[in-house]
Amino acid sequence: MSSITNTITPATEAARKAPPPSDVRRHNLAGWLFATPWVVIFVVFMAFPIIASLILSFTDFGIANLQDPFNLHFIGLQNYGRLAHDQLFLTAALNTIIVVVIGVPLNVGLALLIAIGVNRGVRYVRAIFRVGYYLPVVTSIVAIAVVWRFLLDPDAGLVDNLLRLVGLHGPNWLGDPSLALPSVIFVVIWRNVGYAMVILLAGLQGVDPTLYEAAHIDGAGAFARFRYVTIPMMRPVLLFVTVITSIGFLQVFQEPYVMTQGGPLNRTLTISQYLIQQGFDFFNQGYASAMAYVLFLAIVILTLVQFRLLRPQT
Amino acid sequence: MSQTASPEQIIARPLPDTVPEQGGHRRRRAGSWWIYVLLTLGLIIMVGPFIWMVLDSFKGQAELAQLPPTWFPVAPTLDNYSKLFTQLNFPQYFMNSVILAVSITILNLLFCSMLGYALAKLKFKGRNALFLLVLATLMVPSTVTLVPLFVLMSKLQLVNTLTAVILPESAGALGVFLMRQFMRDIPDELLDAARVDGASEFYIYWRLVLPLSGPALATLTILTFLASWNDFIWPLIVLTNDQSYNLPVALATFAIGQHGTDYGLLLAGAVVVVTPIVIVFLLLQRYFTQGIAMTGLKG
Amino acid sequence: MVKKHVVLVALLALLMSALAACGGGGGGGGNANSANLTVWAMGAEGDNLKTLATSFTQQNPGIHINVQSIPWSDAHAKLLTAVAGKQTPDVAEMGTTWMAEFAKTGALDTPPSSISSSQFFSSAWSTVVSNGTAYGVPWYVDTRVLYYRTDIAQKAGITSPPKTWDELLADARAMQQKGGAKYGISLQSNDWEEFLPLVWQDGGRVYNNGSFNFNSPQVVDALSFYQTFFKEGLTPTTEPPGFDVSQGFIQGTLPMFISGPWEMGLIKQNGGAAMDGKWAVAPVPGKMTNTSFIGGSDLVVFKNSPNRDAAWKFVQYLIDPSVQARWYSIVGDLPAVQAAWNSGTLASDKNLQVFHTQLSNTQAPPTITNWEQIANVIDNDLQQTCLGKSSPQQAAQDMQQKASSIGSGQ
Repeated sequence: MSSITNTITPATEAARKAPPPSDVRRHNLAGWLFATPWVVIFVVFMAFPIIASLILSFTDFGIANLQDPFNLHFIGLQNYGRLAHDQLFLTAALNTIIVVVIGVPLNVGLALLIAIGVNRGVRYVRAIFRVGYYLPVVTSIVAIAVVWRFLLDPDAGLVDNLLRLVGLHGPNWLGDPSLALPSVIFVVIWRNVGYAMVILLAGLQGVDPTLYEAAHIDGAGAFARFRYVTIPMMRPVLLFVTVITSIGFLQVFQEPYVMTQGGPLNRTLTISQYLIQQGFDFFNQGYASAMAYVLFLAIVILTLVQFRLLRPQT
Repeated sequence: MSQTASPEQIIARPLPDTVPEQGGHRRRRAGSWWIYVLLTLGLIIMVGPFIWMVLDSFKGQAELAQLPPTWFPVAPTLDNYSKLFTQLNFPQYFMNSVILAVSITILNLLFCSMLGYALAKLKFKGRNALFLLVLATLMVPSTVTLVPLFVLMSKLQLVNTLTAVILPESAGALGVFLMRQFMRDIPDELLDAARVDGASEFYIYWRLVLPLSGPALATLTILTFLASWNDFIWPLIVLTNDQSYNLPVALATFAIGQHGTDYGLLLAGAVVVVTPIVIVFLLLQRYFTQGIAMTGLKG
Repeated sequence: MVKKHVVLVALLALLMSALAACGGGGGGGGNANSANLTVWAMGAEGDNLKTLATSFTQQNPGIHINVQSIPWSDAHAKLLTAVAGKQTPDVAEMGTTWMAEFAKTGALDTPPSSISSSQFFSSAWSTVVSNGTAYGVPWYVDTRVLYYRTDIAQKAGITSPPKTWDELLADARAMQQKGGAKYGISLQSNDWEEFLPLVWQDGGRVYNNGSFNFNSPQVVDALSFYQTFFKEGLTPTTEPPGFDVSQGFIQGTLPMFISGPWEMGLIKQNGGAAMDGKWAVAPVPGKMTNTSFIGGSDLVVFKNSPNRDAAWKFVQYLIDPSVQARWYSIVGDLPAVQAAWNSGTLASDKNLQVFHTQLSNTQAPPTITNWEQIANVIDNDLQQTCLGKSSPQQAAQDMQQKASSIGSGQ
């Protein structure tokens, strides 16, 4: 990526290319000194639990080990094998995949469209929209879930009552097994689109307007401008937003947990919900750790794939 | 992007908000009224439930349970809000939330900018590996660390302290990423000049780089403050004494009973919890945009 | 293979040595007359226990009590992590279905022999016994009885509350068709606590001596019967948010439901004087027996507590019959101690008399470590059956297979 280039004299250029050894040492020392606080916190509070969890995933650590953690019983890859046959886990995995495959493109796509729309407005209008669309992101999930449960109730809810006004019979959004997951996905997107939108909006405003003018002069219509100017210039931001959204959606927990508790018929059960149930309700910590690592693997793979596909071409 | 200008001129570029309107003016403006309609519709969907939540927080128990539900409160009451002070020790929880959010934000600003600076501007051994490690952290699901973290805290005698909540969250990965991306754009010449003048790395970081990183710091402040303010799961597990609960935990504790939930209380609490966030966001949103714009584009 | 294990164990030992739980030092009897006790309680109990604690301290000036309120939704996780981190309180309220699990951790102290089991309802006592040993004492109980709208029943031509399964079904149909109610009864499609008593009423037991018995004719019968209400549209299939069955009861859409004593207060509160004389409670209908569900909470003392003697003193205070009766007047929890029912409102109120009668005919789910997981299986298969996705026979078989693979954990 082009860092800001300035007028550079050959002298400074040469000096920069071959720093004196004392500078190297100074940089090394300074670098690690600056890094130390963050690294220490990371090692103690992140790295250690992660490794401990990994080891636990090879054991049957459970309620009996609570006070006696040394009495570990190693069972190799049994937990992982069990996952492959666990009906509930497979259901949860399928639901999570659906959320990601449908939710992420919708979320990012909608956010992009909204951002483009908002970008056309004048400053204060833009500010209003920015705050308004971001509002769901900052509101507590428990309250949000309660409000949406009320809104989507077939008898008492606003949505179905409005539909009734125009003569339509609104379905049982959260109670119907085939509608529950789409309804939850809707609320998840509702909650998260603002976050992506704000970032994309900022990205849009960094795109050089002369590029649009040039394209317009060349006769490019709105859609062509979108395709050949906006998208390429926005690639890095789009990648960032897509990756962050995917990582978040793969771990989707709060919305289905509070709204439907994973039901009905486990149609809205996600991996994170099942993980927490196994790990904290039943205290099958070994099994839950294995699940956490499978989730971790999924996140890594998906992220790498996205980097491949959406990598900005320079 | 391809201008040649001095570093000061570039950093002092006008805020994105004042970018002039893009070409094709009159024709496009006239035809774009329907875009506004759509956007406003979207805005109603976004903000509507929130408004409903606020309205509901002024309804009494009986009215809340009514079917079909009323839109505006028929008998508005401040009951739910007063319950926040009588049933809950609200000022205490508010204070705890503030302490947590402020501490975590300040520590993140400090640690992440330090590491970000090192990753962006100091060539040291293992730099790339460390950056990859930071990015990898973003991919670790939070559920992986809960129990070992709790047992660690108890060994350190930190259970039920605010410190136990602050420490694990004081060094985030997103913050490092943001700071590094932003700082990369600060011209090396500026720093080299200072070095030639005999300035220490710390001086450079503290007096030159940080002041120039305003937008990124503002962005990080919003994101971190928000995350900490709404933080629920970890505080719930590690805080055992209701003197130290933060707002979300206190709300859940006192509003959700065994055989029913006090929805009025919950919604009133939620309104109060969200208000500071909205204020913080309103105040800092311009810098937020600027910060993202200057970092996100650099891939 | 062995070498790999050694390496793994060594690594974990290194990591866990920082957390070696063995540094806890164990608990002790402490001074029975002077102590600072920490007590954890949930929900309404957590909010109100301070009142009793103050009275206790007045009688025992050396013992100070700090009551911590924790939410029901997270109490289980908090208790678990507390045990894991050796950060347990001295005394805690414990859900009856969690007793076996926590007993297995070895964290619970056994009650002193001065506390006799005969003072409690026998089914309540069964909730504290795991593998033959008691690990706590019952604190308060609840049981489920049948609530019904007497006016709607009258309109439907029903003269007395149903006593058998067939009568319950007939009454539900009548209330819907002739009584003018939208539904006949309120039942949950995924609540094992509503379903399991049916199995007991049919004379069945799902767990006996180490093995499960879901694949039995009683379970299939019970599933069929329960499913009928859903198939015929006699009960709603989902609950709206903020669902409070008392609201539907008051409005007349849900003329019957089976629930615990807390609903009485809600009906009076939400329905006011208009509801007087329009409803009543009755023992649950049955088949071979009319056994109902017993729940409630127990009290436990943790072995790690340095003040065990003082802690048990407080517990004994809480199970004193007069204190139990007083607790009822504060929170509405039904006493687990039988003697507390002999005087006052508990003896005279006619609704409470129904609960009292029912209490001597109750059963608790098996006190086994893995019960929560088994209950989860029942919930899932029950819902499958109620929503028509599975037949009673298939569901019973599935329950048996899953339960057996989970095991009892004992």
